[in-house]
Amino acid sequence: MTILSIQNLRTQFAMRAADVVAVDDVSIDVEAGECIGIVGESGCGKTTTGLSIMRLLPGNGKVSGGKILLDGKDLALLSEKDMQGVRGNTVALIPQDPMTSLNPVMRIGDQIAEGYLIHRGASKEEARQRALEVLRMVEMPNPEERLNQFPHELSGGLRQRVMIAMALVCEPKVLIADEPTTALDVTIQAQILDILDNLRVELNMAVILITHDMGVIASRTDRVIVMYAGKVVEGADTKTLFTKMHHPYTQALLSSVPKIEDVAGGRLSSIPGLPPDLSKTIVGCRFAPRCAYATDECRENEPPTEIAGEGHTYACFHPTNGFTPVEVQINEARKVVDAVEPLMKVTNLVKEFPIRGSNIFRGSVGKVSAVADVNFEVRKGETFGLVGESGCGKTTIGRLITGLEEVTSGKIEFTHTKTDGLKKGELRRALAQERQMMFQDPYASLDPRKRVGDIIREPLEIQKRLSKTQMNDRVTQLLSEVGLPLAAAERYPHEFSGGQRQRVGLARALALEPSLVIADEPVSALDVSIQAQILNLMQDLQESRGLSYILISHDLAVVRYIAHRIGVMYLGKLVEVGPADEVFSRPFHHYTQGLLNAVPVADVEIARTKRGDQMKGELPSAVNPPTGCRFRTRCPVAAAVCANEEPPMVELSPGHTAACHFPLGGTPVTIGSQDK
Amino acid sequence: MTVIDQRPESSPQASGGDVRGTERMWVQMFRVFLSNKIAVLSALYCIGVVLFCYVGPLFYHSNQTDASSSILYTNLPPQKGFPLGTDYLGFDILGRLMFAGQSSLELGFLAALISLVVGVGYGVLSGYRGGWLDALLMRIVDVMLSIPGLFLLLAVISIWGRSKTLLILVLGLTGWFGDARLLRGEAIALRDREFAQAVRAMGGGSGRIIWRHILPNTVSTMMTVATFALANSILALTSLGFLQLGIPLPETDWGTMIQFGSQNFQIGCWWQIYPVCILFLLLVISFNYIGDAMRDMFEVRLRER
Repeated sequence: MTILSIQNLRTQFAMRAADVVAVDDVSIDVEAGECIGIVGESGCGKTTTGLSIMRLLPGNGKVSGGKILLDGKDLALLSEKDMQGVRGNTVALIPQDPMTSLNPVMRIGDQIAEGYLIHRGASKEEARQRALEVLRMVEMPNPEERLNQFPHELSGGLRQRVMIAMALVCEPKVLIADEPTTALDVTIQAQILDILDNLRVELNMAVILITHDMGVIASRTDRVIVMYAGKVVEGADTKTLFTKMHHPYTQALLSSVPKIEDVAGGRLSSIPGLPPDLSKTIVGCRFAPRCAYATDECRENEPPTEIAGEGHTYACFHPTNGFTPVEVQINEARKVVDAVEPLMKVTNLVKEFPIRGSNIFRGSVGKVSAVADVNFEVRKGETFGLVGESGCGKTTIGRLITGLEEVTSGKIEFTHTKTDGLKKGELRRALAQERQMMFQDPYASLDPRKRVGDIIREPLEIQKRLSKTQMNDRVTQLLSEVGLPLAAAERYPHEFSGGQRQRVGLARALALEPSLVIADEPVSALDVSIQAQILNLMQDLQESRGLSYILISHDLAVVRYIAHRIGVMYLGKLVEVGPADEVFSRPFHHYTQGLLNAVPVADVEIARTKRGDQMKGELPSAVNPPTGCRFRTRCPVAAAVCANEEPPMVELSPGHTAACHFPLGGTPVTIGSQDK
Repeated sequence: MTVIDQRPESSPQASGGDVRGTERMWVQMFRVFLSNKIAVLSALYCIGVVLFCYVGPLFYHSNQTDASSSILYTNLPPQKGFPLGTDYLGFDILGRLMFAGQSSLELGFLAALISLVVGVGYGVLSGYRGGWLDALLMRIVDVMLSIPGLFLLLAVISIWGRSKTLLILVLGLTGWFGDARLLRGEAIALRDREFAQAVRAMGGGSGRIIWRHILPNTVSTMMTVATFALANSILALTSLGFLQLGIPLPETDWGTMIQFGSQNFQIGCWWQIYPVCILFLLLVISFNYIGDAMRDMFEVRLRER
């Protein structure tokens, strides 16, 4: 039964210069109880489609055409007052960011009950009972207690459960989930998606899942709509879409996703160019400028929507026939990195942040153990991946190595730079030649008031080793190395796209020709197609310059794709270090296994079989970390010894170490007093 | 319909693509300013007032200094020879507006400059350094802000007298407390931005971060603060003049004119108060509109759409 039918929806925004049609002629039918995914790059109109259904567009946006039929009633024509009766009642929305979507001064229970009070006219007591009921439905631990808590007392994952509970309180027929797990860690993401799945079946509710993550789409949806530049380019049931897609965009999008089960070292296929500017009139197929198959026909006429089979539609003149796997080119240079010459060594690294009291004398009232006794080395020419959930200390390690934080104790040594006897300023400049940082946020990491040329030149100016002409030559050379036109030097950062800015960031990091680049989530803010461009670029530069990277990321697939060796961190501790292939195929630590289980895979078959068996619970506080093994509170095999004794790092196979009393796929390690 | 099974040969080296060519930042900012009609009007008015005060006397000659010859013409209504009438000393009001305007504008400008420099320096230092220094510096500002500004002015003037230089110093040095707070906030936000951290990572020190990165990024706040500071110091000077603590004779300022005008208003000399009040009021309002437009202008990078 079709519950929601969107027909020829057109939504536009009035901008300063022109009207932007963000959603153009979009038609989607949603059946009761099904999960339909809308996928596409940022700016493709997927969120706007969701907001149009809810009629929650920002002030300058309006639905200018088409119908949104909910049970045969057109939502586009309802008065604002009638629409209020629909929102939260028959159609509900789960917004993206659970941190900012809850009222910080209102109790959880009251916030959940609010919708019930408005739509059901229930008494306070009934609403409270209902709130408790839905909190149980979303598997909230200790629901009675939570009712009286405030949002700041809850972690991100728990807050997202509250958001789901709020959406479910009136048992809506349609639930729109807009990137519901993007802000969460993979382990928590898996928990939340499981809850959504179970509730959908239980309540026979239709779920519209808006996401950019192909892995989430593959594992959770029944049907998928692929959007590009405001249009639906392809729609099919999930399995067909992943195996027999017809639109070149779908194909390109899927092949640019790094896959965790891929052979490491292949080149990702990337989509060249950028999505079109929607404020301009577009003639022909919108994907044509980036499409490998485009002909003159595509550039002149807009392809009509064709039907390929049951529920499978696409809009293309030259459909591809299914997924042609990209030829994996194993990078020879990369394979040879068995080089063992160490470049940088971290020994017994500890970082503690004091928690300051609130009074003026600022006494320290405790400390957060962000990095606790970490040892590892990075070798010349290799990529060392650091993975773990947020709050595990991986970013802190990056900042310590870059010198943005002072170490509490322990040593960071570079093989080629003697740091003894240098003054503070000299030391800072000497180390700047050894390691540079590539930042996460391409928008915040470039000074908006500086030209790109000056941004790249700045490290050279600080070091004062080159003449003016030499500096200019270096800037020119760097720009071409990172694939930017020379004219870029004269432009300001706001004129660049996210991917281009990240290229500028990389060029700046390379200006001093460092031997090590620390890349903290370098692609997490970018779309997959752009992400692939940047990752390929990083690999090319590694090859041509013999660079080493420390790649810090929460995205295991990205790390798997680019890293030679991997370190897994949990709550300030390094729990497993080993060659990338081995860590992913034969992990020793239960935490690594749990992380791998939680990653959604962009392949329907694999995604469906690996469900269940998820890691439970959330990251404990780093103020009072658990005794012994820090992972024991979430570990499936924790025993008494884990609470009493901290497991040491033991080499379990050549070059592959883990800190666990009961490593996977092996006999328990016997050490000291453990034999009881 | 042709079905293509093969992917084409691997695409050439992925390049970052072209950079969108938009106009220069300054051109864009100027355009935003021009789109605000009332601000353009205000700017024209301000330029008009400045020209009136400084260029006006070159074309319109009137006696503003010789009290012995002017005494014959006291309190005359507008008439031939005196388009806006005369004041209680017999000076021509139109000429006097220009003459008083010069000192009001000069004092206002210099005082605003002093308060801007002090306020920006103090605020940025406090915000960037943080910790106990920030706490101390900001408590000092809190204390100063808790004293009504006018009382502070009155106290200083009654102790040290009122020369032009002293007035500038006093107005400038009592006007920066609010600015310091604003700039401190900006500095704190910018200090933790990734681009400031990047400078640290490449071996740069605090001086470079403050001069090259924090200060240029506070320009929008600074410009806004400066326009309001200009309006405020002219306003403060006028209040002083009204309390008969303005610039001493034979010089004068708009506040002093308003003071004497208001006394004679009761005996029907409306021409002594309306022109100066209207001129001054519109000027202060204009500054405020310009300040608003400046703020929009510098936000241009956030909404280039």
